Amino acid sequence: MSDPRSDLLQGTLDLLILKTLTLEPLHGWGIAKRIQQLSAEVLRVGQGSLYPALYRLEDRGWIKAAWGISPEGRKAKFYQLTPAGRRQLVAETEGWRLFSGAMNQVLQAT
Amino acid sequence: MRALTWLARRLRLVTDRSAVEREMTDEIRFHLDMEARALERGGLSPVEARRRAALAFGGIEAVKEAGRDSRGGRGLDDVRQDLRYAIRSLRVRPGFTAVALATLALGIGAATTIFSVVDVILLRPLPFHEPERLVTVWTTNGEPESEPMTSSPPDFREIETGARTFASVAAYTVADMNVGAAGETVRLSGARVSPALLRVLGAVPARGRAFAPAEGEYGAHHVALISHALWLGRLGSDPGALGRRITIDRESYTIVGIMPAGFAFPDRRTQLWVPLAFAPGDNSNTRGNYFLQIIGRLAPDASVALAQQDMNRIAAGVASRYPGAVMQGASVVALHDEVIGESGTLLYVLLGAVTLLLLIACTNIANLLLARGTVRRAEVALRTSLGATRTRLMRQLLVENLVLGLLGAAAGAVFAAVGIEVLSRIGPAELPRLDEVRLDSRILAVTAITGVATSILFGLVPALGTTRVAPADALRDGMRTSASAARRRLREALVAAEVAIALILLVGAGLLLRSFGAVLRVDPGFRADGLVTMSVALPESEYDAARMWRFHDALLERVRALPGVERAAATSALSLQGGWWGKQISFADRPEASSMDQVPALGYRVVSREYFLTMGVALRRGRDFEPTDRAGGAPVAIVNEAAAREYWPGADPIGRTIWLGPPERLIGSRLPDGYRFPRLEVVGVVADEHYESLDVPPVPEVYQLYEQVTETPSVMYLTIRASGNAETIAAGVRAAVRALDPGETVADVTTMAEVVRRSTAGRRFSLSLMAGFAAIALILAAVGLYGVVAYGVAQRRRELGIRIALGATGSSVVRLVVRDGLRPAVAGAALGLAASVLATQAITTMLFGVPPIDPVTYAVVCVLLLAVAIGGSLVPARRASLTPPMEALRAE
Repeated sequence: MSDPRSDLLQGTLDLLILKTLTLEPLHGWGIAKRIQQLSAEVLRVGQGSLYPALYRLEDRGWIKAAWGISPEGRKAKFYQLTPAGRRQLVAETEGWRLFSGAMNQVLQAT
Repeated sequence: MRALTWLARRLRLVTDRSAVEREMTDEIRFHLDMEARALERGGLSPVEARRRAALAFGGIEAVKEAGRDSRGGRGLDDVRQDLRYAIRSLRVRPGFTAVALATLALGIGAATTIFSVVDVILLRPLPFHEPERLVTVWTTNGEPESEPMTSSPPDFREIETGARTFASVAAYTVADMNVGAAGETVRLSGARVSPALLRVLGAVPARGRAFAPAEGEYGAHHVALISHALWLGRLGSDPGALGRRITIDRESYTIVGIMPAGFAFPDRRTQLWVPLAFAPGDNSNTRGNYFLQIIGRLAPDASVALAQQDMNRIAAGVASRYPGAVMQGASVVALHDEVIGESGTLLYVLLGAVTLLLLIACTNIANLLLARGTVRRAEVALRTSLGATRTRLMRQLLVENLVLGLLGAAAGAVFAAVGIEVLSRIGPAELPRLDEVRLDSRILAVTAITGVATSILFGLVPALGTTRVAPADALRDGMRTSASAARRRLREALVAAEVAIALILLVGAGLLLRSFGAVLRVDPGFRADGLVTMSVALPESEYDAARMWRFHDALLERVRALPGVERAAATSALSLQGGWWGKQISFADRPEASSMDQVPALGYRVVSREYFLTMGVALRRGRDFEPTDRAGGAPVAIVNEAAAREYWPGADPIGRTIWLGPPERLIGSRLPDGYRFPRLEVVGVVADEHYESLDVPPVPEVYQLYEQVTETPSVMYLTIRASGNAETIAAGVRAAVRALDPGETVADVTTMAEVVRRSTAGRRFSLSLMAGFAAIALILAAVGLYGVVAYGVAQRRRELGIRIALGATGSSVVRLVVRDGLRPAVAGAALGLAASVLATQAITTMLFGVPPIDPVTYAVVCVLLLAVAIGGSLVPARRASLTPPMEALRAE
């Protein structure tokens, strides 16, 4: 099920989520906001893909979830990176660099 | 470690689904709250903020569903859901489910039962070492069509010493033995065996030892092997039983071995084995007495064919050296074929019948599911339009049919377990090894897979078509498509096949029923009601003929004095019990036979006075035995009508002189000098008693008064016409026997009515099974037919409504619908008739007094089937004719 509002390339959402979680555990809404802020409002994460992506990453063991209290004092589900997730982030970042570098080369050549 | 947490998470998804769902809901609610709050901070009103937040989030349920998909463990979860749906959808159609389950259970259960029986009797090796190398050897008269006979001791010795194709060979004969142990005498079934028997069978005693070769010598033969059951029962599992002494027919024997629990030879009743040995001068140890069964183990390089050649050679040697010998040829039969014997036909017929039944059950399931598939088109279409994927739908239908099939198989397994239990209890003596039959899981698996595969195949085929249909079409009305017409034709063909198979089974059952009726109508030749019978076996070692007849005279006198006893007599052979004692016959008033082949043989019974009166055998001509017929007086004989017809066609046998043996000059060398058989005068002709069984025509027989006979039969049967129950009378007789000889007892207490019943047990058994199968087949065919017609009516509601609205009468609608039902029924019946003509060839040997192509049976079966077909169509037809036209028109 692809979300028409998601402008994100397939696979990049996972990378972004892992990246945003490197600093601190965040809840779902926080992750969406953080991605928006970090990309200077360029990347908007559709909720239709965010939560399925979170569950998928959790299923693969790259992030883990725990219930905690948000700064607003509400019960919320916080996600944090696992060691496997950190390794995955390194690998995917490397992969993305290769990919975007290649893309740029091709585009500049044109 | 990671694998563990992964597993724990998966497990939680399945076991704690509601908690996972709740967390997801909470998480999404939190997200919406945060979003709304952020928007509020941006200046929106709380209501508007909530609305925007929700809008931005999109379809909550869609997000949840995508979340469930990506979380993994989805397959397991779905299976659970599919199972729940399956059970629910089976529950909401209890009628369909009950019929489908019953069909599967009956088909799988009946097939598993019969397959298990057939597997044991026909296929499973006998419980001996390398049983495929065991053969039996029979004496024949050298003619190709000769009945196999047991062999004489001298002929057996020829084989024992001369055979080149046997690794070992043994002879045995079964005998009832009066066994005295722990101060009590009982009659048990035993066997006299040559010492090599256990070596031939490859069996060893569980305790003790087998017979030594020297123990086959007379004098050294007082040793016995006993069965495990006898050891457990009468000897109380005494560990010191070995070496104990028991009396067998008043002689003392030492127990040298106890056989293992499973050992049953020649059959399960056999309780003890003693060496076969003959006293010097024992008359039974001659060529004229053939009573030994021979079993051999083929040598490593031998085959049945080679053994046959070998036996031919030996028999030819015997025949050339002893021209008058019974053995003129020999026949070798594999032991397994011998055990299967005549039960083979019955088993193959049952196998065929039950296969047809399984086929009809599968057809019915197919039919039911096809009908259901069509009915469910709308449901499937609706679910497709709501977004269910084709795979998902297919999987759910698969699970549903799998559940149906498995439940049916489980019910079938229960049916089979009960069926096998019942069969092994009621199975007739003709079926060997029934006690070995168990519910076989491999067989159950095969039949269950057949049923389950059918339900899946025919549950999915219509679904395949359905899921491909554009939802809108199917929702509007998918009924009148060409695909559904094809499916309707398929269903009609299936029903026609069901009717055809049912007809074959009905014809078979009908023919067996008519045969059974014909057998029951056969006059046994005696009046069975009120007759009690039992046997007395006096040891030959202590009773010569004179003493034996004195004993019986005294016994009969005491028995006649017992309360309730009207008449009593004794005979050497009981009607309908078999156990042939034959004699050759020669006639004084015609030229002597020129060779042994031409000397006729007939049945022979030695009886007491009043035998015919007691049995109720009618005297046709001449006179009964009279007080003037005495030992030492002029010997007389009475023949039956079959003998009169056979030997004196168109003439009167009364007053003729016969003797029971060949002309003396043919066997002069074997007779004492100047010996002449006693000449007997035929004084009477009596009605034919059926000797072998009711369905075997009576054979010529001759009766002699026992006082005038010097040979002693090994057992005599008392026949007592009395009022009162058999056991009470037996108690009286037993006391009378003990009073005359404390070491004696009676056995085989039964009534003649029971003997008659037992002689028809095989027929009753095959008839009950066939009738049961046919009845099930008929019901299944009726259900199938009803299904097709009812479905047809449902499809044509609108058309029928219009007809009624336009003035068609109820009866014309009924006719229209019934005609639809009759079309496949008639086609099926025609097909079935043709197939029956062929199929009944298989049961010709089981028929009696009725031809395989019996017009009455065929006609009755056709009428019955068509009546059921009309009945099955009439129900939906009447319902259709009563539908208010407006409702029918609105229905679509």
